[in-house]
Amino acid sequence: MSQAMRKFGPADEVDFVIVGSGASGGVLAKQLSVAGFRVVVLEQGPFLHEEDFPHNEFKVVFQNALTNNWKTQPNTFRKTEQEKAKAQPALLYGRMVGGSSVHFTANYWRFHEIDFIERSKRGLPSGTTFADWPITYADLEPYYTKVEWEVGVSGQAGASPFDPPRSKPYPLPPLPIKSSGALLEKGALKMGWHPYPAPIAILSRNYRGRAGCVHCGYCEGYGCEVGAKSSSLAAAIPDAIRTGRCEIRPLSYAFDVRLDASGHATGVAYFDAAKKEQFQKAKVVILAANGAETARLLLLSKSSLFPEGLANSSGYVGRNLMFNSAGIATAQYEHPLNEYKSQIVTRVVHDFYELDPSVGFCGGGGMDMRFDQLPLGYALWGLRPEVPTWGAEYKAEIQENFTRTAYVFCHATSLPVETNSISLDPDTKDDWGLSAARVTYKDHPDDLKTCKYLQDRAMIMLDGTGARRKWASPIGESEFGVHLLGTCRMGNDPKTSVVNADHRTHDVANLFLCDGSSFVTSGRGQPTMTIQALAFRAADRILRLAKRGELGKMAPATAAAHRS
Amino acid sequence: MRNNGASRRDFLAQALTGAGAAWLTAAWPEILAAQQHAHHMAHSVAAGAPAKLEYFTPAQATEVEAITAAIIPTTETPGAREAGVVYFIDRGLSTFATDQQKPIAAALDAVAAKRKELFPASADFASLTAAQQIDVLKAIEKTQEFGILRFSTVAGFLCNPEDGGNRDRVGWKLVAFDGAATHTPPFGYYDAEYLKEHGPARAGHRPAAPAKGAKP
Repeated sequence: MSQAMRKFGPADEVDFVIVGSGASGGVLAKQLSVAGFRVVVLEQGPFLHEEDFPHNEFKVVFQNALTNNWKTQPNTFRKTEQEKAKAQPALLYGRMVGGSSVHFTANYWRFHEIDFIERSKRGLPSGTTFADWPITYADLEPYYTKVEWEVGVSGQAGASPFDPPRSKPYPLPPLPIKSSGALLEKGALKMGWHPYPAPIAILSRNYRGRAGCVHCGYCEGYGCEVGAKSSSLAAAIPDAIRTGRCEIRPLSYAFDVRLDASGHATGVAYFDAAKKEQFQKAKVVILAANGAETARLLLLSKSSLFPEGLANSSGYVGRNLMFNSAGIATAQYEHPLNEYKSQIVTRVVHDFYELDPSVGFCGGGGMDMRFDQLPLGYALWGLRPEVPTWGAEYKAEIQENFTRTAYVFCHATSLPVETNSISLDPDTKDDWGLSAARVTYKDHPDDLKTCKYLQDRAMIMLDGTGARRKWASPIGESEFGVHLLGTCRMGNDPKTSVVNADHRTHDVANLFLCDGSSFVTSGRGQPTMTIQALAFRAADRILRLAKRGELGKMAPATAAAHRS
Repeated sequence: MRNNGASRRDFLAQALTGAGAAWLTAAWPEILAAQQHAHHMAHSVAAGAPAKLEYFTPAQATEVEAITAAIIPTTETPGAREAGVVYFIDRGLSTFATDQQKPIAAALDAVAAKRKELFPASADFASLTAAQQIDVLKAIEKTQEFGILRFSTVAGFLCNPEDGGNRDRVGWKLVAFDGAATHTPPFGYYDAEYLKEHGPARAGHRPAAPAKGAKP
């Protein structure tokens, strides 16, 4: 970075303080600072750089080098509100500057029109709080396009007949096909389906001063050491810092959004690297900490005005948590696929995105084919069910099949259920003395049916790929989430939503929330593209309010040098 | 202990519970210290110096090595012994996984207790026949204690060599993982076939540079 990062004192009242630097926080930081405003981003994790990302499976996967660590920040889990939650890892997210966009798989297809209006079209499945979004696909389309061109997405416009309309093609062609993609394409075409090149937020060529993918294979779960993965760290934060108006403050763990007597947010209290309490003043507070931590921070921010948690007059903060359900069908082949090379997904099938109501349940999903385990993960969890897990036979199995295994990953809807939630555990605290995130989750029966439906079809499809063996993993209820959606949903009715269509909380005029928590429905997996589109749109909405003077006195620097 | 085919999402959850939790740990400074240590050790090994034990006594190390060699045996290809798995475990217990000293000690006790029960006349695990060793481990294979030993062995066999195991990449060589920093397409058999059938454009390959002297 050619320019030293601007630093603000905690007492400086900046225009915006943003909690979280991930997919949405990074975009908001860039858009607001480029527009001339002074921004501080509080990130609980470290500021790592490309050279800090090791090609080391043991460190990254088993020692939580890049993710939340349950030893210092425990989770508790229960299936229903009647149970007492037990300590167990239940949430995973990237804990570093760039957040989960650093370690994600980078599947970047857009949500379809149906995702925004499915409640009107399909009615209300029992036991759900299914609702339409207050915005439509058409409202978000320009921002999907903006994401593709701003951060760099590789794909082929028009390749899927199920894709919603788009105003511009992808800026980069698809990444090279892998064996898993070639097999999926072959099998799917035999079924009469429409496989298409996966839209991926990884550069297939050099783009905007960033290097194209070198196919190292340390991809899902890892940080990209050449910056080809279009994380916020690679594709947004450098632009924000370059404005000279944005400070990214790592190792800053927010625990309280403070209010004045009139119910106006004044800033955010956080623990610094030495676990010392600090406070950042700001005119506007934006939480972009992910669908678990945004809700948790609001619940932690109790006050006499908001005894049940900040901006929680609806009681919906933390509720309607959606993980995206999943089903798996694995296959082994005669020849090596070498799936450990390159990025993860190269072909997608969306023929089942919107299932006909005649199936008798509400849902839909997509399929891709991949093998996202490196040697250690494979040897621990990727084995076919009937082989021994140690000894000579085990050794022969891993020798033969590490390079010959792939699976169909069916990614599907989760319906919103009010009791599926993030809440504060009454007993368990983290190492900072804050109440642990308690996860209550039980998949809606329709979600499990959707997964089974997709998995059954994937199993049939695999016959057409020439697999020498195949097996379906049992579909069970989720106890672990990486997609953290719906916990502060957007809506027009303050009784059943937390933010409005501008991401402004119904309860506090200068408090905005923008991340997976804003989702009203889950989509069919792969939420990050939509999180970023929402962030670009939220930035526009916030800038409009600021210009109209609705966010108090703010003086943006004129002649913003990097207007985009 | 058999793989029960859990969902992909549970892969991660499994890493953190049961046997996997054994090695989950640590803050960055400890990991970095371990890395430096490994670096140092790798250099010593490369220079022909014997690898040093930091945690186990030589007698313990002999037992641990024999157990790991029963879990991933030496066959016509190298196994846990040649991969130096015992040194990986030794280093873990003295650096990034000090909190696993007790669980590992308990696991070794469990092996010893079962050995004495099945083969009362035996002196130690290492001196049992291969078949006897398998009998002992089979008798405890469903226990948490065995799970820790199995996890540690597999991790030490397939980790990055900088972590102190997988010497000479024998684990990676076994599973045909090349560990290369970069790759170029085609990556595997079926995408190579696809390329032949459908051509570079549909396969997403960059157009090949024209050969020297080729006419445009």
